[in-house]
Amino acid sequence: MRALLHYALGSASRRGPKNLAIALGLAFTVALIGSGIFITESLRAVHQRAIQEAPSLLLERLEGGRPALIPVDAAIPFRAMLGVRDVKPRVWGYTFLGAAEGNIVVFGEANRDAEHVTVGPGLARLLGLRIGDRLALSTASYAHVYRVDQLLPASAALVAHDAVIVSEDEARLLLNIPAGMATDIAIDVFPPEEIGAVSAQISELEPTLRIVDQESMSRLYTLTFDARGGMLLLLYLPCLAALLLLAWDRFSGLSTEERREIGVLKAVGWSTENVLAVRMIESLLVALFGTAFGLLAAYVHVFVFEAPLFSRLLFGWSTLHAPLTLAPSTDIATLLALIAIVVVPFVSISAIPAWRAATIDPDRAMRGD
Amino acid sequence: MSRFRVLATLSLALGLATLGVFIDANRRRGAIDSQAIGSFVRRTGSADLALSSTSRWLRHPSLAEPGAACQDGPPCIDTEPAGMAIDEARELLPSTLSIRVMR
Repeated sequence: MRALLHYALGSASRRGPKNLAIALGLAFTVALIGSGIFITESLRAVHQRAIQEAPSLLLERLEGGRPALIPVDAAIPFRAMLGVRDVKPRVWGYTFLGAAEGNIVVFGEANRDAEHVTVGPGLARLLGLRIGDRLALSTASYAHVYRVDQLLPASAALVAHDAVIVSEDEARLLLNIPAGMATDIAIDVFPPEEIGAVSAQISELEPTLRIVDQESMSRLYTLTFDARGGMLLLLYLPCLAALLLLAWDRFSGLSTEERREIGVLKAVGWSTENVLAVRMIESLLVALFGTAFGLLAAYVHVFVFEAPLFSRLLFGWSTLHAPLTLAPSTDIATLLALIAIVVVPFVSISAIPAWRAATIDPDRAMRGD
Repeated sequence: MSRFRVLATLSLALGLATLGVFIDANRRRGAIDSQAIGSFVRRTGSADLALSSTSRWLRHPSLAEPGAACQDGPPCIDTEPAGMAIDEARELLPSTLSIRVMR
């Protein structure tokens, strides 16, 4: 085995430029596919973390198919329901911020004084805000100067990048929401097994309300990331197929020198299995090093450089978007699956040309026929 | 022998790089303060990702307008490249109209 490995290494180094070109092509393909997997897995992990703290149910009123304000009093009957731990009418909404050329999300918080504002990391960075600064927010009908009491940390950027938190009354004034009305109603249910029952009761009591439950939200994002991750993989499949075709061409096209080399090996007593093993070891080395290098490149691209190749696609036209500061969340099984979908076909397609090369008649091979 | 040495050197370099990745991944996981995300969601009740702020169906897919015209095809990348990242919230669209055919 040692002799076979030794010979395979020599063979690989003799065809160095060709093998290097294939390994680089493989690394590039793996880096693209790996980047997609790393991003979707990390975003999925962030959302799974966030959804654990989300309200069990969100209730919206629809008017003409669009979300409409809901009376705060509509929450009263839900408080008495079995399993309902907390009912909170929420005041929040969007407002266009000229300075950012984008929308910010204004959240109203109960039990908070009217003079202070908490700012998300994106807006804070854009405006260069620090704690204690004064921030004037004005709409067509209302203006107020707030003091910044807290800047949300950059680690919350993926959910809070464009957020501004003020008191509930101030949010009403900024968003033009009349007193006694709310954007939606958040309900906490405990134990979580009761969510379905509470949802059914609410639906019976208020059939016009749209009910969004925690489980559906979680499933929505899971499906989204699965679908989008799969779509990215599909986009790169032609790339992988082209590379496999190139590898097939490389491994099947034996030069006169290679044929003569195989002929000499068989003439000195090498079996067909030995020649086959050498060719397979060579392609396995190319595949393993190419894939490993590709995975490393994907890691650096996504987690060190924050995925510059993908971020434009993810953020679209948005001017106020979060940096992709992600933590790796890909499990070993996913990595092994990625290695399998690249390495297995690569080594497999090299098997047939390797078999054809190994079964060459030594006499004809040495004479160059 | 030198061939084995080259292979060993390459394998060692790859092994060290992999080890570096594991150490770096652990460090990054530790640096991401998931408490901050949880704290924000508890305060506001909003768990949607802030990947884009241009369209409501991207910023708050769980609360996007279920009947709005743009809901017909928001994931199209022609309309908005970020539609590649976030799907439309079909799962959450309620049936607001019931229909019955009588003969």
